[in-house]
Amino acid sequence: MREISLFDASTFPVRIAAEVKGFSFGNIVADQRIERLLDRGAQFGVAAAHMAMADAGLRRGEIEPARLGVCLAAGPGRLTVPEIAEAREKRADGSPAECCRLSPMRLIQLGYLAPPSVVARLFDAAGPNLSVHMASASSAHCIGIAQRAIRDGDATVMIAGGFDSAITPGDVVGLARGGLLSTRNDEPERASRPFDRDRDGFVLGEGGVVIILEELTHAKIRGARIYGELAGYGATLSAYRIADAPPDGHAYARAMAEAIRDAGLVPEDVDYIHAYANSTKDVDRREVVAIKDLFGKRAYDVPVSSTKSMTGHLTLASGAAGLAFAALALRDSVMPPTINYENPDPNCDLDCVPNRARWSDLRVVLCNAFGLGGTNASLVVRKVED
Amino acid sequence: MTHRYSPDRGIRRTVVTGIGLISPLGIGTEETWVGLSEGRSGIETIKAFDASRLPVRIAGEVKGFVPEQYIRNRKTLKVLSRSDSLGMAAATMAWQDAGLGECQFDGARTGLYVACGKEPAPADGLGEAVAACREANGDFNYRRLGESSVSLVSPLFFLEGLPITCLFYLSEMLGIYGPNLNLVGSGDAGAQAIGQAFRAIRRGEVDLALAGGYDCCCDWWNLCKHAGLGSTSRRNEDPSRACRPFDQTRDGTVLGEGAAFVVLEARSQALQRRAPIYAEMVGYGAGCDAFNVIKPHPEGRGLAIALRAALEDAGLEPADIDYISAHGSGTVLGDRTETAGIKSALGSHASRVPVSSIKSMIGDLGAAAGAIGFAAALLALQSQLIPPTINYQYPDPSCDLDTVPNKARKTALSVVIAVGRGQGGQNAVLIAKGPEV
Repeated sequence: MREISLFDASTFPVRIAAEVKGFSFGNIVADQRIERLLDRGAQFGVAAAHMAMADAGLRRGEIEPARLGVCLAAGPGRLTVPEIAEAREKRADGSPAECCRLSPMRLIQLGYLAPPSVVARLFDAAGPNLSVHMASASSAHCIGIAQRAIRDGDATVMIAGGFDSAITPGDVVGLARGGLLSTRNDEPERASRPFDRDRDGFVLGEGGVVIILEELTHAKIRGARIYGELAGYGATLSAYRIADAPPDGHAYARAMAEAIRDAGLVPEDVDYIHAYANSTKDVDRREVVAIKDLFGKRAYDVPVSSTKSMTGHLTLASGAAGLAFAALALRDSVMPPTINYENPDPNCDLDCVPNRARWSDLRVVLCNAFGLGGTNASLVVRKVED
Repeated sequence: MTHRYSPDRGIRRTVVTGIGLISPLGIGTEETWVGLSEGRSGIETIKAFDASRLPVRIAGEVKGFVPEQYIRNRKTLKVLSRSDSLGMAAATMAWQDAGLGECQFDGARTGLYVACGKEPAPADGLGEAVAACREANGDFNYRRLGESSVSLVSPLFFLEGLPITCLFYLSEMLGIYGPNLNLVGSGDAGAQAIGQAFRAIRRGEVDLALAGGYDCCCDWWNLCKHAGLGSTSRRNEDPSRACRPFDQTRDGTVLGEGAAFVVLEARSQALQRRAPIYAEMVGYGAGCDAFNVIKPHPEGRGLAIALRAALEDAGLEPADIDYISAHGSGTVLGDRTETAGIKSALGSHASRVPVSSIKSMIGDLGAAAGAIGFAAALLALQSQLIPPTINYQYPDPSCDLDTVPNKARKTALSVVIAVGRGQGGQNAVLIAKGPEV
């Protein structure tokens, strides 16, 4: 996390963010025509999809097209400040669209149009294709829906995940005014501090995270390298308030319970929880309440850490990011830490793997993603024994 | 804590027990269906704002919609966009139609699947601050923007344009706490939402689900965007005849607004509570062109895949199909490729199956289109009456289907299909069977 460099945020109420550094779309996907269709966030997503397919060892044409699907959480392309001003003026005087000076290319970049189509074309994915927007739970739901699609027999392989670039004047102002962002502007690297007593809001991040899900037998037959099994998915609605976490954490607990049950497991089987915890006062606390509700006394024995302490909040990509880190933790037997943990909060008194990563033989990892609007998703990823 | 799970829920039959519709032909299922069966057009010159200088001046607007009649809470109303309100209203209509207002149900085993069409005019809440930071020479002073943001931007601004708004308020209002999805997208999304709800009931994840879509494609911003991409008709002087799916002289679609929701339920539960049953949902299939960002695949590849998948899902053959409620948006390429896709999947049966497009009467309702197309198919099943494709005057050899031209047709119907096609090449197909279930 650093000072924002994507625009001059020097007088903004929040001046810090976790930007992606050194990204070059062309280095990952060498296709200028595609690049021109994609806004920043969409570029992250398409690039991540490309990297994921390469990581899975799958090339275009290797999966029967109708059996390859896409389910992505799509952060829409956003208008720039000059574009907003111009659009406002033109609307006020009823001028024709041409005066907006938005080229067809730019029109394609805005909104949700391009990425699902671009990804489908890149890999000849002619199967199911869904675009999802559910705030921070989005890409976790995408991965869950992708799992369901494979289980139901609607697809053999699914490209699932999310992308967003919310480090824009509009998003920063909006979230800052809504009281959701940390204002620790002078210490960006210490601002994201989930579970810590002095946490004061999340730090915006950005990125694209894509997971390749594949039917198990199919993966084994082609000798694919398997990170783990996406064994469980649970989804609930809090129905409490649009922007506040439910005080009893009940809907969070139900999502976790459902994911665990869906995996054919019980809470005792969970070795580590990759938390949602976004460094806001309320959400972190309520996630802890929910974990205690579900795990009982054993909650104190299950490490639960939040990588948002290091990456910031990837918004629509955060759910997939959590699952990715859960899968990597599983693969490497390492739990990533919650950094910036300096002063315990008695309301968040679980083992948050403070400040240092920890080796641990992991078999089952639970991963949470809770979004605005009270939509909640939990996923369980489990080691695959040969 | 308790959760009710029965391991043997398995695969279960799913029925439709409620429909709620708001369209350019009327507010409510009855009004809309009467308009459709009479072949009336809901497309007129735009009245909601001054469109006189825009290249597109016609649309399918919903007339006389008063959000306050459906949403009592003032604070809620402030946060809802017009399309959100349409969605809230249609969803509650469907819920009431299913008799669930007075019914006990398990909220945790109830799902909510929404296709959200929401792209409000660019950052209204930021507009003042942006205007204030513009210098005399036209440059933007970001420092002034940052400074003025505290006084000129509302704390609720981040809720503007938030896609899950309607999903949240529906869950809160109706007491739905289970699995959920909020899809964004265009013509396929409404059908996908219903398809996903269907899957959830069938695999035993929920017993009850509310699913559908809403959109307002004819507001200023969406109109300009679509017009800029070249997909809209320019027949401004003759609004009711502008949307002409499959007709040789078609020149593009007409945008509209509206919302359509259905209530899906496990058949056993519906029978037990003696709910009204419209039809049984038997199939869902999806496929993607994987071709071009705005142009459909010339052979309707994604649609053919979706149709085949849906038929296989339903255990049916092309010979079983009695009617297709088409996407039929009225664009040159869209209708041509839809025809190709239908022929590819149905083979020789394509020439026999009636295929009509209600967009000819209400326009393209975006994220609601797939849902309203399905609702129309269900109502057709119920009335044994196929709504027409109006404005069909000059046959196009590349769209040589039986389009049920201009007049509704009374005929025996048992298996009906609805097609939803997205701008990016996504296709979704739903199949329902009735009227006896």
